[in-house]
Formats: sequence, structure tokens, C-alpha cells
Amino acid sequence: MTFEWLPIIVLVAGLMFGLISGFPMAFTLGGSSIVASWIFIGFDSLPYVATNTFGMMTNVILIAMPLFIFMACVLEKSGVTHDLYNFMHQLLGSLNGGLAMGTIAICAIIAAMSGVSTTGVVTMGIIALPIMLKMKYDKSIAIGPILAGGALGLLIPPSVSLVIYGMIARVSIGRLFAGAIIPGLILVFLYMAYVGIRCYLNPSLGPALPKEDRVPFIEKLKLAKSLVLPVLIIVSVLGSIFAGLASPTEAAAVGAGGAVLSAAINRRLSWDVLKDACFRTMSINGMIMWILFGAACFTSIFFRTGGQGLIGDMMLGLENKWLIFGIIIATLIVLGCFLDEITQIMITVPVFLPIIVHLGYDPVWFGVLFMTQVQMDYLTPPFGFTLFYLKGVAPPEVSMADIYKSILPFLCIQLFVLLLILFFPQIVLWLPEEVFALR
Amino acid sequence: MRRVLAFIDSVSEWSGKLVSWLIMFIMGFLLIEVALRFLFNAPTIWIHELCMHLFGFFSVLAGAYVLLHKQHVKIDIIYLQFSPRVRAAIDTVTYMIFFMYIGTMFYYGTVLAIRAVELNQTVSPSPWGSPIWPLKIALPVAALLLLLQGLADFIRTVNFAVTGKEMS
Amino acid sequence: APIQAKAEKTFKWQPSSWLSSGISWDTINDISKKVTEKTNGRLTMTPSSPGAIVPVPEQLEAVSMGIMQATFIWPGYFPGQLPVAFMHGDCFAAPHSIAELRYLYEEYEDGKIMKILRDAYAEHGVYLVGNLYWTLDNLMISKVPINGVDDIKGKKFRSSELIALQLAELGAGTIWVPGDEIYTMLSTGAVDAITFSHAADMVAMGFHEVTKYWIKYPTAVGPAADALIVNMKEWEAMPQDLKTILASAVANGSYRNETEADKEIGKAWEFVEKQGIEIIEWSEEDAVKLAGTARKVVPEKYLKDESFNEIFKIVEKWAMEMGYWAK
Ligand code: NA
Ligand code: NA
Repeated sequence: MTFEWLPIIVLVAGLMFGLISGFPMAFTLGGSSIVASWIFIGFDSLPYVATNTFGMMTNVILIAMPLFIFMACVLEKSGVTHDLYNFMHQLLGSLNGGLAMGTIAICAIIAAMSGVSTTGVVTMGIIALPIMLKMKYDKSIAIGPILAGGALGLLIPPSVSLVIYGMIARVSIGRLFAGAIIPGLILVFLYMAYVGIRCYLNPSLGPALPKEDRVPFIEKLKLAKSLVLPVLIIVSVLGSIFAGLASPTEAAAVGAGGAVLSAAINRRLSWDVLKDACFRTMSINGMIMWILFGAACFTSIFFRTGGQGLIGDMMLGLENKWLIFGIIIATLIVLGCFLDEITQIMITVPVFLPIIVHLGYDPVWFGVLFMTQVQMDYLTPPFGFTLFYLKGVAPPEVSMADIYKSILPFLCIQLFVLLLILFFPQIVLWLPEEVFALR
Repeated sequence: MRRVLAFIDSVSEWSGKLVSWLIMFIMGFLLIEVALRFLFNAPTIWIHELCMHLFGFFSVLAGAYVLLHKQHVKIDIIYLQFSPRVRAAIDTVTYMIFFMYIGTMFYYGTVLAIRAVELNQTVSPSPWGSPIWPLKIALPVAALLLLLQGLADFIRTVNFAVTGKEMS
Repeated sequence: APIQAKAEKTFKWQPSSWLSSGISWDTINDISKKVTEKTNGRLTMTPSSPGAIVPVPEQLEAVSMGIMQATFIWPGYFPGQLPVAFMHGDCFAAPHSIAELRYLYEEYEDGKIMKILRDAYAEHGVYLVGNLYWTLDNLMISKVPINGVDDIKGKKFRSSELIALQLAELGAGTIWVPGDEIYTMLSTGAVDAITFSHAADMVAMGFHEVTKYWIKYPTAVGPAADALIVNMKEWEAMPQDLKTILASAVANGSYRNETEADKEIGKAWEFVEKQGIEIIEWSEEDAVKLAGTARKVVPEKYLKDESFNEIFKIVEKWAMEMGYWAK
């Protein structure tokens, strides 16, 4: 161990302290960074606590997040989503685990509506988790799909992360978007298959609707009208993006507006519903933003004390490609513990990419591989931002341990798809070649 | 003492509830922008920038409310194994780190805010160029509110650690 | 022996930039390496990714307050903090070439503009070491043909800074969205056109896949200036020889920018032509009309600033002498 590693050790020790002491993550990140800057840099550097927090406060790309949270709160409070899940439950009738599979599908749709990964997890955590728990779903089968499915927002276009990767790596954003679609769909399929098989083998994990509660076909048709409002919202959000009416951030406002309208049509829009939705949105968004404020400070000090150089040094002179990919994946897992996704891309892509290109790999392929890995990083215990966000919105009976346990099988699936992409690059490269060959 | 603590609680409660309405304004303004652009082909230069301001207030000023309602996420797997009084003792220590962090944020946030007012700083790069001091002042204000709420919680925690009884 | 102590002091900087790839970023790496070598490590420069230490829009404050010792900036990010920065990055889009821009800043009227700029930065607690000139060529690219000033009216542009005001003056609807959303908006047709960067950058990000028309002349902005800034206390603590090495490295970096840009941008234009992009050149008359709007739309609040106003008058005089701005 050389002196170079000391700052990193202090920072990691700070995180460990938070893990043991139950100190809120937001303040653990901020507090560790201040201690590390006192030890290694001195008081002069401390104003960064204010400048970097301010930078995160004014990060406009995050505006979509509270809008989606607001949409979810209004839909939940006005009963729109409750009706939807009721219908899903009736429709899928005897299918065990059906609601969890439906949730994965909705996650994939939200991923296509939003460019930031947080939105899916938080939105579905608000909408789907309480309902599934109420319908006697096992915690692990209810939580896991929301986490894994929600994180798809990073991969399924439009994805802010892919755009930033494209800008740094200087590769076509259109090709990246196209390349990420098939891996995204494979993940969706495997998540559903996993839930289906687990619940088929052990129906108590995701019990189907009891026979006596099932309604005849005609009644089901009547319930189908609960689909109208959610579908309308989805169509208006996706439609406003793809018809070129709105930017992804504005589309989030369209979704929020659609939710308010739906509540009104459902005749459940009241002053109380709006008020509660506003309060809850403020609280959840505040929880997330204060974690990001802490992360902004932590990141700064990590790089001030030479973190970036260390990553570069590790890769120096390596020729064995498996060793290189191994180090890349390990590095991303470690950094995923405390960097937000955009910073992680900004920092590591310039270090990794020249090596990847030098080895003769396609940067579009690497971009998708990279994002598949990054979505995992935010789900790996003990430090995973997405895990924290879900804890923040979940009902109180859900503990951090429940969340950790539920994500493990899905992490295995993600690892499997990661290896698939690593060994069969055509999974990524086929679609962009088809799409852009036409020009 | 109890009245002071209750007063601090209500300040946190109301500051959070007050800014919570901003989400409706963010939504409304963005919808107006979409409508102006597509119905009247008249996009504005100010709506997106205004939403940046609103989002900043909305995010940073929620801190004290989130603390009051104990919504700041923690990893509690090990923490929950301890008895409530031991937990309170641990919290007494960790609150020191909290005060250090938020205190630093308050101090330098104030320095930045004073600079913004003195130099009459505006948002940049931006065609609209609205003043940035309201946002810069929001940061130390939010930190101050958090410090107050932290102090109230700290007093309760110390009291519980020492006496084993909750203060109402 | 305070003199000896001063000579032995070493400086460790982690300058950042606003770009993390491309020609100017490579130049920053190049400068950093050469400075570290030439000073035998007495001044070590290790470039850090944009935003890694301090978010890009806060970097002027960061250098001024000593959070960062030095950094490379595009001044256009900071007019809200320092009014002269509004012109420092692109000089009202007046000069037509890098040589003209350099001459105007550093030699015209005894380099008065550079002196005023240095004083303005100094008041902010920052030393302006020098400019890195480069080819911004902030192109207009679009999904619909824009063959002259008249075609701008009614089009939806994603654009920023001065050119956004110019386009609005010419009747365009200008929209400001974060850079991260440009590609999506262009591909879905939410905007008709954008101004963003030079041809090499546009090709690298695949913008040729979602547009049909690229305007080669006039460029919306043309040549531009980045700058190296250093915290004033840090600068004053440096021995003269380090200062000299640094200034000459910046000047050399500036030339590197220029040659690399010529090469890369040339290749990019050849490439898009092969891709079937329609390359448009406006008439001289329309080019002058576009340039003329720049001076009209400069916001009043900047003109109220004494230093800014003084520079504006110098540029105006020069541009009229050159025939670029009407008398
Ligand atoms: Na997405
Ligand atoms: Na992790």
C-alpha cells in the first residue's frame, strides 16, 4: 500500500462508518468528504461543499425526476393505478407472479418515457410495490422486479447516460440508442421468465387471484376501462417525445399533467389528493437530491486526491484483454458505490475508451456493455443509490435487508447478459447496422 | 424547551410544505412552453431557466422537512440490532458529523450568496440571464433550516440516551 | 532564505475543461504533459474530467476562491459572473479567422482588449494566462433547407448564447434545452435546426444521421477563444520562469488546436458530403446580414459594464474598418 491509496481508504472507511452506524447516506457521503479534505488538502478547498451542491441544485437534466414522482403520486392517490392492477390481476387470472411480470413490462415502458434511471424505480416503487404487497406477493418477488426493471431507464432509449457517453466517446448517439434496444429487451424477457418460473415452482411467492375472487369474462371487459387512462398517459408522453412535440424533460411534465387529468376524469381529483401528492413528491425528491448533494462533494474529493490517476495506473501496460475487462468491471462496481451515474460516465469513459479502441473493439458496443454494467452498479449492495431510493419510497415494513435479498437473483441475470454482450458483440451491433445501413 | 423544539419542528414542516407547491408550477410552466411552441410557434427564452430556479428551491429547501420526518435513507441492517438507547448514543456521535457537514455548507453557502448579491450575478450561459442570487441564498437558508432541525433532533436524542425517555 | 524556499516550491494542478474529448481536450492533455516535463515536475498539471472536481458552471468561482488552482475555461459559460466573459469566448462573432481573432485581441491598438480582459479577471481574483484560439465553427444544421436569412424566420432552433439571440432577432423560435437532449429533439423533429459545434464534433456524435442540410458558410460563430485561468494568489506565488513556461505552452497549444482542427474538420466535411448531406453556402449579402445582428442583440446589461463597453467599442471600430459591420 502506497500513500496514493490513503485518501481512498479514508473515504471508503467513511462509507463503512455510515454502514455500521446507520448514519443517513446523504450525510455520510458529505461528512466523509469533509474529513478527507481536512486530512489531505486543508481548509482552502472546503468551499467546494457549497459550489458542488449548488451545481447539483441547478442540474436541469434532473427536472424530469420530480415530475415523474409527482405523476406516480397522483396516479396512486387517485386510484388510477389501483384499478389498473385490479384489472391485470383479473386478466391474468390463474397466472402466478403475473403482477410482477406486468410490473416489469410497465418498467420497460417507463424506461422508454424517461432519460434518467431513477425515475423508473421511484415511480414503480410508489405505484406497484404497495399493491403487490397487499396482494400477498412475497417481498422479494415484489421488490426485485421494480429495482431491476426500473434501472432499465439507463439502457432503453432515450437515455441521458447514453447521450453523455456518445458525446465523450464521440460515437453516434443514434447507433448507441439502437444498440441498447436488444440487450434491454433480453433483460426484460429474462426478468419476466425468472419471475414466472419462480412463481410457477412456488406459487406462494406471487399468488394468483383466488378462484372465488375471479369475475366472469363480461365483468373483465368492464374492468378493462381501467386501462384507458394509463394507456392515454403513456401514449401522450411517448407520443409527445416521438412526434417531436416535447423534449424528454417536457414530456415528463406532459405525464404529470396527464396524471392530474386522469384523476379528474376518475372523479377522484380533490384538493387533498393534489396536496398530498405535492408533499410526497417534495419529500421523495428531497431525499434523493440530498443524497446527490453528498455524492457531489464525495466525488470532488475523490478526484482531488487522485482517484482518476489511480484508475488509469491500474490499466497501464496491460495487454491481456480479459484482465482488462475484469478490471473495468471491478472498477465500475467499486465506483458505483458512491458516484452518480453521469459522473461515473464522465470520469471513467475517457480512461477506458482509448484502451478499448486500441484493442480493436467497437465503441458503440463498449458503450452498451458499459451501461449494462453501470445499471448493475447502482443495484449492488451494500452501497447502491437505486437501492436507497427504493427504501425511501417503500412502505415501512420493507427493510434494507429485504431490498438487498431481493436484488441478488436479478444481479445474476444482469451479469449473465453482460457476459452475453461480452462474448457475442452482435447482440449490440446487429440492430444499428441494420438501421443505419439503409441510409 | 419543548416549545422551542415544537417551534423548530413546525418551521421545518412549513418550509417543506411551502416549497412542495413548486412542482405544480414546474409542471404548468413546461406545459405552457410546449403549447406556446406548438400552437403558436412562439417558444420562450425564460421558461426552462425559470424551471431551473424552481427545481433548485424545490430540492434544497426540502432538506429540513425530510429530516423532520426521518426520510433521509440510512443503511439500518446493523443499526437496528442495537437497543433504542444504544442507537441514541450512536446518533449523538453521528450528529457531530452532521453539524460539521451542514455547518460547512451553511458557512460557504453564505460566502457564495454574498458574492452573488455583491457582484449582481446572473444565470449563465443563458439568453435570459435572470439573477442568480435567489438560488444562491436558498442554499445557506436550507442549510440553516437543516441545522435547526438537526439541533432539535440532537437535543431529543441526547435526552433519550441519558434518561431513556422520549421527549414529547 | 525565503527566496530559496520560493524557488523550491512545487505546484500541483488538476486543471479541468468544459469538454472531455475532441481536439481542445487533446490539446489540454498535450499542454499539461509539456508543462510538467519542461518544469521538471515543479509544476505538475494533471487534467481532470469536466465537472469531476467542480461543476463546469462553477469553475470561475472555484478558481477565484482557490478550490481549483487553475483551469481551462470557455468564457461563454461565465457572463453572469463576469460581463466581459460574454464577448471573451467568441468576440461577437466578428472576426472571420483565427488569425484575425488573435490579432484583434492581442495586437490591435497595442493589445488593449487583452489588457482590459486581464484587469477584469484580476478584479475577480483570477489571472488570465492566455487564450487558446480554436475553430468553434458553430454550424447551423437542419432538417429543412435554410438557404439564407429569410429562411430562418419561423424555424425552431436549439441554440445558446449570442447566436440564440441573433436567430431570435431574425424571427426564429429559439429553444434552450440541455445539450443532453439535443439529439433526441433533432431526431424526433422537436426542433428544425441546431447550432452546436464544428463539423468534426457533429459527425462524431452522429448528427449527420438526423439532419439533411449543413450550412458551411457562414458559420454561426466562427473562431473562438478558450482560456487558461489561475487563482491570483497561486499565480503571484509562482517564480517567473514557471510563468514564462506556462504562457508559452498556452501559445503553442493554441497553434496545435488550429492545425488539428483544420485537419479534422476538413475530413468531416468530406465525410458528410459522401453521406449525401446537402452542403449549403449563403450569399455574401446574407452572411453580412447575419453577422450584423450580433452587434444589435448584445444585452443592455453587459453594455452597462465599463470594461465590456470599452471592448465593444474597440471591436466595433475594428469591424467597421474591416467592412464586417456597417458604419
Ligand atoms: Na430511458
Ligand atoms: Na453498488
